[in-house]
Amino acid sequence: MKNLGMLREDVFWQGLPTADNPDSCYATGSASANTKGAWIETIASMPFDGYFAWDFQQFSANDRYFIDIGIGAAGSEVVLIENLHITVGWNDARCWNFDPLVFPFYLPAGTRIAMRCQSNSGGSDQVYPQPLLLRPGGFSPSYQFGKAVTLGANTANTYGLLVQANATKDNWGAWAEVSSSVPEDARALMFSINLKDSPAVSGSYRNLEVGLGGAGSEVAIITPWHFYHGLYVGTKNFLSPIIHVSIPAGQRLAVRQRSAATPTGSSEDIRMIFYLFV
Amino acid sequence: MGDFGLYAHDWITGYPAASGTTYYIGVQSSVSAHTKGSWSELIAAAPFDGFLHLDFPYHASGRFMADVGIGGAGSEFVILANWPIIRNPGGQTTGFILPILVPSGARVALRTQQGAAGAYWLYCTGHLFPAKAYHGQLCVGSFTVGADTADTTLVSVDPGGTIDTKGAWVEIVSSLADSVKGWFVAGFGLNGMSSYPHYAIDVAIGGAGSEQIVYANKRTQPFATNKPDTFILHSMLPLPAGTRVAARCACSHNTSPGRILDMAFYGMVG
Repeated sequence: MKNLGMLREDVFWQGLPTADNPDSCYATGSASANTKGAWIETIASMPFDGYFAWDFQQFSANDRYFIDIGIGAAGSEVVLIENLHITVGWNDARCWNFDPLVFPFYLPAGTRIAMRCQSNSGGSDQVYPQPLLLRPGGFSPSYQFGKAVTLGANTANTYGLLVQANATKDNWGAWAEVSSSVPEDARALMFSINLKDSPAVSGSYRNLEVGLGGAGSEVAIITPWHFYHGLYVGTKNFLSPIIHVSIPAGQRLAVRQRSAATPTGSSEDIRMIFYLFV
Repeated sequence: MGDFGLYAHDWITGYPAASGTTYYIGVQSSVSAHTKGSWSELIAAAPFDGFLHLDFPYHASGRFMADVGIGGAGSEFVILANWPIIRNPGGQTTGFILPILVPSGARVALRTQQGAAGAYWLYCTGHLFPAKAYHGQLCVGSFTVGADTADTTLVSVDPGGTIDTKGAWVEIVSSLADSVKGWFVAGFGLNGMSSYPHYAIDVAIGGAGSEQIVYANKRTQPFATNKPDTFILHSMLPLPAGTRVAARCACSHNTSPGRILDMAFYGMVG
């Protein structure tokens, strides 16, 4: 018999809502473009100490979204992580499945969780996440962070940082500065990747490097990270897992990318946002 | 300032390596249906003790079941067997972290089978995370229950004919042969149906008739009328040998066979 010391009959994942129609959980943007809507309560009260996770499965329109997650009473929500960049593409590709992303914020029982969002087109666009609650243990994060610092988000147009491709395929583009000086010590990061403006006309294979150090002397700490943009998912985005790297405050953070496809205009450029867990 | 001793170059190393200009490895099924093809090398020699984030960025149409192995060419030891893969439209698939130790120096390779004859390609990428970045004790291997290699299917879980209502429990594992530190239930759908059906999946342990839910209401939703693509429920809930595992699901549509999901159990051991 192996060590089963973690066995507790109450360790489990709880997907919400418990009703069979998942569309009752959502965040709504403002009627105005690039403007956050009101907070919408996602979970009235955490039923146990644990973690909040999600994956996304549906959106009301093919737009770019920034989503905030907050905790606290109605009217006094405190943002845990902001401007999570979710973009859905053309061809009505309005659903998305992925391995649930566990946010490494330890939340006590009773915590109220709310979300709000903005979209580039306004119109009170909605996103329908699949919230999941996770009790401690196993896959749940041992790193417990107080908040995330978002770098590269432009709320004025719901875009991330522009990371340009090289004009020649298979060559690295220039390093794009995410932060000239990371504001706080970080022990983990996550990033989102979106195509720049228009849908890809065909799928393309990519990879990127994340580096620390002064301009011209970047040292890659993630090399490479592979990703792919498919034909039908066009501008649909990619969220990395939470990656445990240690980045001291004051470091310059940069990223560059390359594509297996020869760019046509800006077809191979991407937009990125970084989320540092501090 | 905290302890930043972990800060180091090459913290996360991707494969294929950045030194080349390849973006994935190709893993080809046999020309015969339901038959594993040859092993394809992902990592020649791991530069440090680590664990893998795996992704399958593209593949030919159809359903795949892939093995992940460690060891020299010709003597690969399977650490994950018959992982189910059906792509999202356009090629994006579900990346996942495999909590199994890849020792420094180890060679990592993959092989796959496909549901039809014809030597189909499955593309794979990997990212090796240092073992010290894992939040618990890494496992050393796994075993799979519920994958039928004879027809590249898994255990069928039918929600039944009532919309948005959980169907009967379906036994995935009658009795675990070994204790597990954690587990995945993963699967796909073999058939598409009406536009954007959504599913909710429960997994439970316990005897028939007294199931206790340990993972409730994991949602999945395919693109348009496509087959439900790979879904993953992961849990590091340890389970002792002898445990029975069952699953059930609900669906927003009741057209058969599109409403049916296939799923298997992947137990992490060591």
